[in-house]
Amino acid sequence: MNEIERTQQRTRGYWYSDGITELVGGVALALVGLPMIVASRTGIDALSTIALIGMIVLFPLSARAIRYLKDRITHQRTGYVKYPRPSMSTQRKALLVILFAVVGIVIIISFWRGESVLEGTFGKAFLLGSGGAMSVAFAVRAVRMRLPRFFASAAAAAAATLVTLLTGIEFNEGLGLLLALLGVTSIITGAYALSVYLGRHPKAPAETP
Amino acid sequence: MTEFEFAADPDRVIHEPARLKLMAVLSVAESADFTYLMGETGLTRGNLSVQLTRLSDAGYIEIAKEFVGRSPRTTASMTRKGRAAFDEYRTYLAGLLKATS
Repeated sequence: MNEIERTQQRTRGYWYSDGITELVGGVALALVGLPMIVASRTGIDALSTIALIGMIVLFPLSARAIRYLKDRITHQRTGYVKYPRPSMSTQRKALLVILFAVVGIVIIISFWRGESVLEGTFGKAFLLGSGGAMSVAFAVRAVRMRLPRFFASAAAAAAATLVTLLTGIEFNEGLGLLLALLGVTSIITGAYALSVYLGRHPKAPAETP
Repeated sequence: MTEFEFAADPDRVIHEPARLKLMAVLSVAESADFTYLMGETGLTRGNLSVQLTRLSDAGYIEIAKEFVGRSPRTTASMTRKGRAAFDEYRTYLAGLLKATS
């Protein structure tokens, strides 16, 4: 890799250099995942509703929190980088269409076999697909951005998926386990990255008008 | 002398290492501010300002000033002309490596 590519890679990975995205995202995931597990274990359905509401409310809120924290911490220390909006290639669009088609087919098969959609083939396929996809996405990010801590998130997603499939726990608990384990791992790696970042980068003097 | 040496001449504006680094940063970002560019290039405030002006004069980047709260923020972004010049420069480098290997 030459110096131009190294510079480009550092700039692409700058968004993750402070660990804020993982930390905030991890809190949101854990707050959604943990009530799902507790609801499945205790039978308190209200917790599942709380998790669902949390999913709707927490993710937009966490995006705001990330922006706020980056403005207060990162931009004042190492500067601001605005990234271009990712454009979806035709290949990715085709992949998404195939994915939706597969999900549709799985739902039809589940109904045809008389299974409950979430507890049957679809539930297992959904958890395997989403857990596997998350694991691969984190591993790819770790390699591309040269940020090995994302391998921990990849391992967490893979572990949660395997446990769910091997122990045969119900869908809600499986999904809760996936989100909670990923959330807790992200909190740990994000907090570590943030502490390293803060130690390395004191606040830079502000620009003068 | 190889055929390559007759055919190509590097873009002198981009060829300078500090400006090349600035172009490399801006090629993957929509825009970046003065603080980030200083950290990435290791240039002093004054030198960075000179290099950005040189790139701006060539039409390769655009410089914008804005206020975030009460603090001013100067950002640079690559123009279409700059992107084309940067791509051409990378092709030149690849050709150079091929010709000399």
